[in-house]
Amino acid sequence: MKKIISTLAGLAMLTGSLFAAGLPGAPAPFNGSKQIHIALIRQMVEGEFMQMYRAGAQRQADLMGVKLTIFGKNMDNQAQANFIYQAINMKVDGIVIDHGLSETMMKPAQDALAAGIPVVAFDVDLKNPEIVQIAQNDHLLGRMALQAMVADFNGKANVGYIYVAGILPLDKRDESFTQVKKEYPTLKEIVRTGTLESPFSVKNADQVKAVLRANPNINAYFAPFDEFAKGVVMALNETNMTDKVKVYSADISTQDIQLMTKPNSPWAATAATNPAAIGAVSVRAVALRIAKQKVEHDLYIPPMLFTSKSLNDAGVKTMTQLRKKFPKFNHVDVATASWIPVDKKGMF
Amino acid sequence: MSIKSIVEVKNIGKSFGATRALNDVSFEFNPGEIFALVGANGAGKSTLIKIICGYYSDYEGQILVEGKEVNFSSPHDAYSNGIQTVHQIINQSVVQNMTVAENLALEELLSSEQSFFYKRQAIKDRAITIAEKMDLHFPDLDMPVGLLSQSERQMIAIARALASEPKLLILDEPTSSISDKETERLFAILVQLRKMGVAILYVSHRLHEIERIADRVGVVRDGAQGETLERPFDVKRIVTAMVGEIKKHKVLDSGTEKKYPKVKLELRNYVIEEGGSPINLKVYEGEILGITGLIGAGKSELALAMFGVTTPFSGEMFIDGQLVKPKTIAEAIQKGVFLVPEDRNNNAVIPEFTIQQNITLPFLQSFSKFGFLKVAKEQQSAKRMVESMGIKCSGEQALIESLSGGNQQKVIVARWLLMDNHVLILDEPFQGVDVKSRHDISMYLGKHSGKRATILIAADLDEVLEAADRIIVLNHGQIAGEQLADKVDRGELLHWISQAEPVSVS
Amino acid sequence: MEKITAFSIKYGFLIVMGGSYLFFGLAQPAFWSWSNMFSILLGVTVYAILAMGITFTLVIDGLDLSVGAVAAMSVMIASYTMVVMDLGGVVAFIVCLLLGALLGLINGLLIVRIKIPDLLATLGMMFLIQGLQLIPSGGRSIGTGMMLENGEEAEGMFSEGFLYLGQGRLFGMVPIPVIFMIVMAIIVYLILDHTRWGRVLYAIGGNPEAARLAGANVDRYKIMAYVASGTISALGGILLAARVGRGDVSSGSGLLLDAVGAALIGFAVLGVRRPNPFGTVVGAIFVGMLLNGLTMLNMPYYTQDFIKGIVLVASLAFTFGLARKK
Repeated sequence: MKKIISTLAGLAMLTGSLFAAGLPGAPAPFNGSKQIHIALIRQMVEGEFMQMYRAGAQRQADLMGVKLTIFGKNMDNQAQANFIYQAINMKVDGIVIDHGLSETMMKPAQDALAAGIPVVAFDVDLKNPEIVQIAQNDHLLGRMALQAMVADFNGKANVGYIYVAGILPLDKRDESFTQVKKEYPTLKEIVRTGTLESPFSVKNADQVKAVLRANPNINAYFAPFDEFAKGVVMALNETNMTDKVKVYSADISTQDIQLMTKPNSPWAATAATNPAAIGAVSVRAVALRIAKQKVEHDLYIPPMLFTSKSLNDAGVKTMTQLRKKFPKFNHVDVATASWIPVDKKGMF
Repeated sequence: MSIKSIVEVKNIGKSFGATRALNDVSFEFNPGEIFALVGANGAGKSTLIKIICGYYSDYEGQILVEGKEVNFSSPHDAYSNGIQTVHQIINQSVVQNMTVAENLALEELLSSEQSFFYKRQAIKDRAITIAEKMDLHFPDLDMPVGLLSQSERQMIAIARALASEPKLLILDEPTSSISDKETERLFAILVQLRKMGVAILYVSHRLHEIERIADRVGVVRDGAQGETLERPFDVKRIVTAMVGEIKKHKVLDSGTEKKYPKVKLELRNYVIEEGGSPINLKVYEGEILGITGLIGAGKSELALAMFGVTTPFSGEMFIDGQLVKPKTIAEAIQKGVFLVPEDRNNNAVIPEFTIQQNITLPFLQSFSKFGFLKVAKEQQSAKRMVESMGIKCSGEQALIESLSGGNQQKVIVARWLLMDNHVLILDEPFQGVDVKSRHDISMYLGKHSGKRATILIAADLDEVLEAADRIIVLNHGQIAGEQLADKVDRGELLHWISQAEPVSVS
Repeated sequence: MEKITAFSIKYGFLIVMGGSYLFFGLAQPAFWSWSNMFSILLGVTVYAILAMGITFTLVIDGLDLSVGAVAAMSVMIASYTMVVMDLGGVVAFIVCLLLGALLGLINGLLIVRIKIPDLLATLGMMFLIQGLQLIPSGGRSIGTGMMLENGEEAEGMFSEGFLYLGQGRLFGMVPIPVIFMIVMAIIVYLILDHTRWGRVLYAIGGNPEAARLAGANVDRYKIMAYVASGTISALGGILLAARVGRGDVSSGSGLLLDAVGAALIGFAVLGVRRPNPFGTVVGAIFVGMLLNGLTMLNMPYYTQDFIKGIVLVASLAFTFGLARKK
């Protein structure tokens, strides 16, 4: 074990000593006067979304020659608060907070600001004018998926719904659903279920199977989280109802694409943002704050809608192919500056 | 002996830590002979058996099978050398939820040479062969063993043991859990096995059975070699060999009544459990009363009832004329009734504790204020006890585990002598205790008998006589007789101890 | 040679700990700062406190697997009391402790009266409590402004004083939970090592029959050990709630294993080979220190459990292997 530690320590010191040459035309301290060190402090570390977010952040940091230290212990809120203090102790130049509970993270974030360290937050509202708030536009995300449903069914459908209250993005998507239901009174919510017991997909599939048996009139499913959608697809497969119900969801991954592009897939559409692009935005935003340049207080990441038809037409089977065929997905034109290099191809 | 022995153990010894359990014991087992091994509880019987059946690998001495020395490092070694054991607890020898056939053919079932698949018919055939060898007939071989009677299960265990044609068959307390009728059946089979030329090592504390069935009797006493008796013998001779000759008589100047005028403890019509005989008994202030008797005579049961562990069925206990009825152990202690329990390791020693912590355990309240321990005071008391009892140790802070068996026992006796009390009961206090420590403890008890009534319980006559002023013999839960230590009639004592049906004395 | 063995049994763990401390500080000077020391301590507080609860049950040769669930329940109940019922911080504090004691009592009764083995009883209770804690809020996290069953919004709040327990600092430096941890460690140490109750608990762990025949009411002491464990765990939960500031349904995850780990590592500290409060706290701090240091060296998150596992197995091997040869 000592060997591993010393190797790691050596590596850490090596990267630390490699001062970036500086970015051309960049303001201080990105002009090479100092090795910039950013901390990424995470609430969740598992799952495809989280991994892609991390990869995007890391790629952006590498392009800029910034050292990125990643702190995270899955779903341990008090540890997440602790990590901020640890980052303060390490005298980092900027902090990105990725998810978390507002109540828990507000005070530590404030302490970081007090220590002169700029903070940006993704998907956690820290209620501080000094902190840049980055969010996927979850209202829009939900609305896009629902509009696809409205288009497919001419505004008239019997909808099954999966929802778990208390999760911020799901709550926002739920608000969109409430709105859309008002706009289209013929869009009827028949039943709602939902569980966050893992594995999410299997546990939700169990519930949905029961729902389908009890409510054979359901012809559309709103499952605004891809793990929920997987559950619905699983349930439909097992009850041989794939041709009777269409599924509308949010988020996208390689596995999702493969489910959506299968012949006669019930999964009709999903609205998604690119987590890697969000990761890159987070790093850019905190870099701009470190350089004392202007950044909007609220940065929204617009989603894109993918339908099983659009994916099939483009011949997309994986995320890599998706990035090639839908280049707009890779890069979000938010929090940019002339001196910040970006990766528009998203080849990481 | 004309027949050449088939299994021989020579100069066997074994220690557990500082305790010497067995020392230089030798026996021979001959084909076609039932050899009974007897000894008091803790005498080393079970240690010897465990060595012979391969349970302990680190023993001293030799085991010879057909004249050749063998080394047992596991029960499997003993088994492959032709030594088969049927253990005391039959339910450990049979698998309850398997069928009769499967249990009979268990060795084959578990053998690694068998094919991977389960062959029902082959197992059944094998089972029938095994059963027939012992002339056993089971109406339904597919019946789960759990539904059979104890003796039937035992027959299965014995039949299975015999299937491998052992040179020596060890039966450890085979009659302890079966009825008289079942015992008769077992004996019939033993006689048959003897005819077949099997050597049988029969371990039991039921001396009347041994008198009937055994050809020779070997005795272990205090971990050492005792006599080996050839026929003819009777229970009385066996008991003598087990509990010993009376080596010396304690010389008292006069009779108990005169020396100890004040009754300290009295039991009146004390019945321990329903259907038991009433016990009436007086113990005088400063007197040491010895209670002896065979295993199962009710000695420990009496002690446990007086100490509040169990509730007597009826009767009263008086201390200084006051009725005392402890419902809990704590209450007994508080009323001044103390017990040094039998089996030190399981019932008394806290192994991770120091000598001091072991001594003060029951009396922590006297060494604490608001719950906080006054360690200095505690240490002072422990030190005093260590010194006055002559406990050999590096100090009262040494771990009790670092002491020899005899010194550990001194610590436990010291525990119960730490505070003044009215009644001190010592149950088998000399088990696993060397002669020197035993003598020290006896002397100490005699010198410090003070104002208390002391009751010393032991199956070994020598042990009782070493310390007691007066001796009571318990047999089948009732008092069979009483003698003063200075006027001991050994023959009469042995008669009381060994008689099958006790005669009540007025 | 014997002396070396004895020395390494007694101080080996502390030497390794000191070595790690030196190593991390040399590799990353920020590691040695006072504020980092306090963040290490703050990081292990909740685990260390739960581990002290477990220590009580380890002492009597049992094991309380429900500590994590009791702490999580305490988080939810504290939130419910303050946010939904709007009863204030003091009430929340008291309700949590009483509930912890009650759950401990149930554990104890299941084990002593119904004679369910410790592990199974507390495992069953763990599941039961994990489910039970979700019932008042209908499975949702509890925070100000949440929708109630009657359609109104919850208006209660975490009181300032309650939050101070988790987020406050003494002299702007020492986190309040750390003070709780130290005070608890001292109290537990005093009870176990300096009172007759502690002595009897250890005696029961060493040989229950001997303790019984020495007059101890073994059953009552066992129940008390579980009550202590439940109450201490509830306190850990209160501090967790005060740090998180919200009744988060996921807050109990992972608490149990880290706490059990700390208590077991504690066996190796000073080579005493038995549960002890000092070792428990030191064990927890050691794990916290390793994770803090390794994170500073950018060790990825997924290696953390692996590192903890190594430390635990190495400590146990040390405790039961080397120390036994003595």
